[in-house]
Amino acid sequence: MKKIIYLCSITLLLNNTFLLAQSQTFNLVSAEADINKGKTGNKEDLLTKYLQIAANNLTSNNKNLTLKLNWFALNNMDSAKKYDDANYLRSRWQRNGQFIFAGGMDKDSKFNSIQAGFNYNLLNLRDTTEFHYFNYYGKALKEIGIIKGKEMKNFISPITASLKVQLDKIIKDQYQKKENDQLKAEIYSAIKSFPNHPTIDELIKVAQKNLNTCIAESDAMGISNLSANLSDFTANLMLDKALNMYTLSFGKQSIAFDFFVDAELIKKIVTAIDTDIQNDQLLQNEYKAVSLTDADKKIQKQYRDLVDYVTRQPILTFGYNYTYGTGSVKPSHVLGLQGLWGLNKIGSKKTNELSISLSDTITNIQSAQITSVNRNIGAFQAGINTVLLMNNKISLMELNMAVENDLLFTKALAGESKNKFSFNSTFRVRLPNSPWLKFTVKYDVKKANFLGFLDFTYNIDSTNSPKS
Amino acid sequence: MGQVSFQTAMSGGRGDLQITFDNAPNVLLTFNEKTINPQIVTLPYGVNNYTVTGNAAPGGNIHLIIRGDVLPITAQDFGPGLILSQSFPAFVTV
Repeated sequence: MKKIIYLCSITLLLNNTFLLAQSQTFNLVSAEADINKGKTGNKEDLLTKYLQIAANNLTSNNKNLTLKLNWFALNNMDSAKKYDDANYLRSRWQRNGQFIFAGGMDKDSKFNSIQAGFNYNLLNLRDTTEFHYFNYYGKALKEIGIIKGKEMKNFISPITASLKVQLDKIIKDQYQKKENDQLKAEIYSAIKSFPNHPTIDELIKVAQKNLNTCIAESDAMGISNLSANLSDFTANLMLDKALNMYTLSFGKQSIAFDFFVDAELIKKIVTAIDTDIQNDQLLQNEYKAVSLTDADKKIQKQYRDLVDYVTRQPILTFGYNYTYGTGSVKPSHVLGLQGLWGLNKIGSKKTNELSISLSDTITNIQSAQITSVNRNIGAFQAGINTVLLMNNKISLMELNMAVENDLLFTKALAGESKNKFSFNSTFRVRLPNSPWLKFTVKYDVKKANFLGFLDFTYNIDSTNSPKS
Repeated sequence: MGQVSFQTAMSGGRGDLQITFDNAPNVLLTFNEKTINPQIVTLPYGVNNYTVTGNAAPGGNIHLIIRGDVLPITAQDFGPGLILSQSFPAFVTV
């Protein structure tokens, strides 16, 4: 029965409804995909970003269910305030800490242990939200902006003039019909692609007011320049929108505004911009860009490479874990230092991480054969974690190969060695947005025997974005 | 000439926003997580194009508010992540 409760509790925790409910509380940050991408399962085991639920040692006699909760996740501040920069950066210390709670059961499905502990990241180098990316490409982006602005000025006059002709015609028509307050409707009826914008609304209101005065005073001369500001602003808005769309879609799309701004005009402007970029010293020296799209793509790649690089920076956590157990699980105190260090440079697609851990376990054992014995065991582990399969920058398969040396600092039991050396291998795999299945194999060199453990781990972020 | 105020609010981590002006080439406004107060720029009457570049934090956002001697402009949101150069017009009223 307890086994069923145990399995049901895992299922309940992984249920989408639960996930959705918790994520809606923090829906302000709606696009954390870039943060979550590039993280390894290995890193999430060390320090969860938000919440991690794991069913550990499923095939062994002592299995447990572990909950890791990032300190920042416990901050119950209103989400808008929580993610506002002033508070977000002030609460960095919370994001570097996590609490751990676990409950275990034996082979007969009887609860036999509880655990509580914490980990704290002593370094703050791997937080992608705190890195100044702009220092790397700010000058290039400014240069591109200046070039675009210059070419826009070169091409804007015919668009403004063409718009003014159309608007003047509408205004003249309204004046002749002595129509009050119909200017906006007539403009949007005559020019189907006329953009909506609060500034345009205001400029039409001003033009309408002056037109109404001209009608009232039969001032035919007064209408001659009523459309000047409206044409000027609208032409700039049309061209800005078209070029912004071209930029943001990396040259794949743009917007046409009737015959004022069409594909042919955009092509001409882009050709002029591309030529300027080819002649720009900074963009050539640093990016060898042949076009606007090429320059933007190279800067975007640089940005993504930087994000990846930051996710590989060192992390070093200090932790303490207390276990209260009965039966084969003994009460213990565990102090530990764990570190991860990405081994690859900026731009590298490789994801090798050096993984080290040092721990000290203090426990006490008693049995019918022996009286109470204090035990102090130190363990050192070093290995390399490699991502074997990635999909859309999300790790889906990892292999960790490590060596471990356990040293018993207290008196050994009869027939027990004080020094134990083993090879460890951990293989983890998952589908996108699904839990990790983690299989660990330990090979004891002296005894020449294998031990295997199967874990089931699910990481939950603060949004519905891809899990890692 | 009108006084136009630019102010940002950032969320989700460190960000940078840089604004240049076609009609004021020597002016460069820079905003980051430490820039809380609005920055004021003097611009000529009529249409002024401003260009925005930068980056919000990878999961964050930059909210740009423009006030002063300009006709209404809806507050703009940029990010998350890289902000490629984008231009927008503002109409200065004096």
